[in-house]
Amino acid sequence: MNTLPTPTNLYYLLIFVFLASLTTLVLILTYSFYTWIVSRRKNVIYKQLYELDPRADAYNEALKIIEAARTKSLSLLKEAHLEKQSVEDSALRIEKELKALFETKARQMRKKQQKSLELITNDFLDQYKNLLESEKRQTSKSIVEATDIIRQKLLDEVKEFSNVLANQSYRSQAAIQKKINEEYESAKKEVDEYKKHAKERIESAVSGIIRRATLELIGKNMTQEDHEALITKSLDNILQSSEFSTV
Amino acid sequence: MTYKLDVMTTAHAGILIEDIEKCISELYKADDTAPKSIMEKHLPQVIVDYALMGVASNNKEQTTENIREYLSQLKDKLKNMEVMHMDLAFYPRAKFLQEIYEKISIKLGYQVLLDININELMLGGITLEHQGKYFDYSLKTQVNKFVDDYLNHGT
Repeated sequence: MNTLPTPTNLYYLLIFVFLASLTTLVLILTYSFYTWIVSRRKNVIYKQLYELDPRADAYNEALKIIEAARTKSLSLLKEAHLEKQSVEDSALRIEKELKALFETKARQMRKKQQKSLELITNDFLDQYKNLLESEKRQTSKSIVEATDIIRQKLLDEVKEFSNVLANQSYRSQAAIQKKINEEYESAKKEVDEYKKHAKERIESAVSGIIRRATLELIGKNMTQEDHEALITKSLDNILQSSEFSTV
Repeated sequence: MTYKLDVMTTAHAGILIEDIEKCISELYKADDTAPKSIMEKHLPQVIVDYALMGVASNNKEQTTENIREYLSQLKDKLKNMEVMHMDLAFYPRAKFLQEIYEKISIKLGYQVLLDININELMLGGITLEHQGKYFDYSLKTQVNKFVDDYLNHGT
């Protein structure tokens, strides 16, 4: 089915739109005319009512009183403003006068102070110069004295240092001697210890050799009886010895 | 009858002194009824007999107090006995020790305590120290002497 409008249909549509617009315009014009008529009639009625109302005079009177009051207050405000302006002008003038006076006085005082300061400064400078001269003389004297003292002190310190050095040297020498002695004793102890161990080792070795030699010399292992016989014989020799004391 | 104290070495004497001290300590606590049994408990029979005879020979009764006093004297005697130092290569048998001890006692005429030290390095023989004198009759010294003589003189 074809959905596109035909020329005939388009013509009808345009006529319909034109008629609708015309109708809307006619309605708006009619409403405006009616509103104008109603407003005009209301004004006429209000005017008649106002002219007939007795309160209208009072209202006018009130308006007049209010107007007079406003005029009066404006006049008062203007006067107040003028008064205020006058006071401000006076204050400003007084301030200016005071400022001028103050500046004059300040200038005078400054000049006076400057003069005093110059006087004081000169006096102070003189005193300072004198003081410096005095200090200079004193310092020169002190420097000479201090030089002597320092020289003497240095000499004393050098002497003391020499003594300390000599003392330290002696102490160091003694300490070194002590250390050497200690080292010597320690070394001697070690040597003695070594000698003792060496002797023990030698004795042990010799003992082994002697044991072997004994066995070879005697030619047999000694029995308990042999030992006891040897001891008995040895003891007899000891007891018969002239050195054995019986007393 | 004379009893001989059967103590030959310092080791024997030390043990006996300890036993006597224990015995004395117990005798202090005991009454007079059983001093002998207390002694027999702590001391060898030979020492018990020696002590009882010692008390009797002093013409005293065998009371606890008298026995205690005698044992104290015996203890002091043991402590004060002369000591003779002796080195041997081995510890002697009891019988051999007795023989040595008797020889020495007879020669001296009094009893001493032998302080026996064992030194195997001497190999045999005996060394003896008496009244500051030292007698070395050890086998090691004798062999050394023999070797030295042999090396020096060839004989």
